[in-house]
Amino acid sequence: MSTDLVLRREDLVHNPTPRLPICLVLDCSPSMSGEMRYGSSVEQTNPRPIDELNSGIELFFNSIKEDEIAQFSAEICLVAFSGVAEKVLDFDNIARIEPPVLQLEMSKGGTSIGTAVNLAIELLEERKSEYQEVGVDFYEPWLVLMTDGQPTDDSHNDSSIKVSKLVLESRLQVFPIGIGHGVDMDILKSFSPKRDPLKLQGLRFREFFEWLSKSVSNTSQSIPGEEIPLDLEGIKGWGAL
Amino acid sequence: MDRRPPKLRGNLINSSIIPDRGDYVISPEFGNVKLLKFIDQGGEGKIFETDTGHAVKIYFRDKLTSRKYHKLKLMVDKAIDIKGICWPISLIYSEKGSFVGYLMPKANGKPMQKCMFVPPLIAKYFPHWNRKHLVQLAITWLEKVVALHHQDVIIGDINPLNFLLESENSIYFVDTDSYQFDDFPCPVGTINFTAPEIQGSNFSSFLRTNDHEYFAIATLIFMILMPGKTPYSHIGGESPKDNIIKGVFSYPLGERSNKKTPNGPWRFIWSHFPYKVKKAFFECFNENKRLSSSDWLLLMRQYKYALDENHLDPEGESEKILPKRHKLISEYARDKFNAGEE
Repeated sequence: MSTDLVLRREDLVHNPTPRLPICLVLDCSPSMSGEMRYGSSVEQTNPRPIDELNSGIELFFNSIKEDEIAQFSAEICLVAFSGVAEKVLDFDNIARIEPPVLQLEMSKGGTSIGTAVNLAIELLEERKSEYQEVGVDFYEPWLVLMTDGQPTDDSHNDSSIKVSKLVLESRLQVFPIGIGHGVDMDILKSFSPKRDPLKLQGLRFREFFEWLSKSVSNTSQSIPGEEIPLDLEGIKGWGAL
Repeated sequence: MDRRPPKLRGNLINSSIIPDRGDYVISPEFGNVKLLKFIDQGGEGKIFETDTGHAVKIYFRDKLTSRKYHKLKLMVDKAIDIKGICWPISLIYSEKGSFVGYLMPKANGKPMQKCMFVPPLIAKYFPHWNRKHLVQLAITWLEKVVALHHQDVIIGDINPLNFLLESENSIYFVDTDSYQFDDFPCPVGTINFTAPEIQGSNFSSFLRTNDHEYFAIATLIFMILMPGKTPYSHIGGESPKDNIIKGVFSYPLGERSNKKTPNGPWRFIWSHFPYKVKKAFFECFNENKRLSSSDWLLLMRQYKYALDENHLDPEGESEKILPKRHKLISEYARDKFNAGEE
């Protein structure tokens, strides 16, 4: 085993805190550049959505690292997608990780939500098995799905059925977030039978991730299986139905 | 304990003012009291430091019920005075004269869950600690629990966020207004500290028994000695609630083992416990045979004595918070065994 794997294994068994596995599934398709083409003219939004997303992620990691309980509980994995999906970061002890900086997938167009969500489910299930194999308690995993577009394939049809089933069995929490005007909220809704998807106000990624880290913190102070009411008041700072 | 029906929730008390930092409030015992500094906020109200050196809890408007007033009045009358227990010692009224909260001794320290339930936190806050300190902490905690039980108070919601640690010899019990007292039930609780037979119950609808409390006590002692690890986590485990209801306890007693003990240091820690401690946990979590608070206190004093006298591992491994191997048989244990004592 490599040193990294040994360390990862040590962390897993030495830390008694129940784990909250979180998979961020983030759209990195070219439209996140904020560049809009109208025939021959190009309009560029300022700041670029991808930059705001990255600074939100950085803030998310840093807030969790500063939280006395959440830093030992939250484990974050990242899937970036466009037409294809890629694991950018695997679950690990958050103390050792620098927040990744996502790059746009300019060469690979498309938005395959289903492929990305399937990968996320696979990664979350794998991590859950690792917890069970060594005897570590864990919370219902979280899947945060952020996209700004319409899917360019049909992969979401099957994966939304799979995800809805997990949600209804209380084996997964889904947070679907739409970005911008082009997003298809009905598709996001198909992944989330219990709560409605929310639309990010403008580019309030930082506000969203700040809210998310508070929710992680509240959950990590509870005991797996307890209902933790979401901070609905706080949602108003970044989201809308 | 008899099971009289619990008192009703009671009506809301209308208070036009909810005092805040900088305001004066009135205590029948201490006169005019100023709310100096905001300390913390919970689900029911805010805690302030006062100019009298006490702490005051001011309830949120929607938590001010006549039921709460009657319970607190009884608690104040009972005047329980145990070092470190932040028992209500005076009712608190607004300047307009309506009931808004209560006054108590001020607590110090950090919540147990936030300063010792992960090995790196112990290293940060109590770098000099070894296992003797953990056992001493259990003793200090149990002494207070036993004292409360002698006064017929049941804590109910035993919760590592409500015990503040200054050191292994100094612990503060906060949020005492939720304790089960007279025929007022403790309305709250968490999954990990709830006995299997009352999992999922509505805590405000019944009075907890001593036996329910003893389950929670065994759980907290386990989590002090195995810093942060819950008794029921095991290989192939499910949710904490399912684990508790199924009662699958994975640490072995002699030949009895389901081979599901979690990986990591936990099995070594267990191996180093004195036999009687193992037996007490095993019977509590496997067979629902629970020791009382005073039995646990005696047991922890015996454990401390065994550590002080080096009766456990001959190479001192038992003294470590996280031993790296199983316990070796000490000369002392071998002699005892040969003499047929254990």
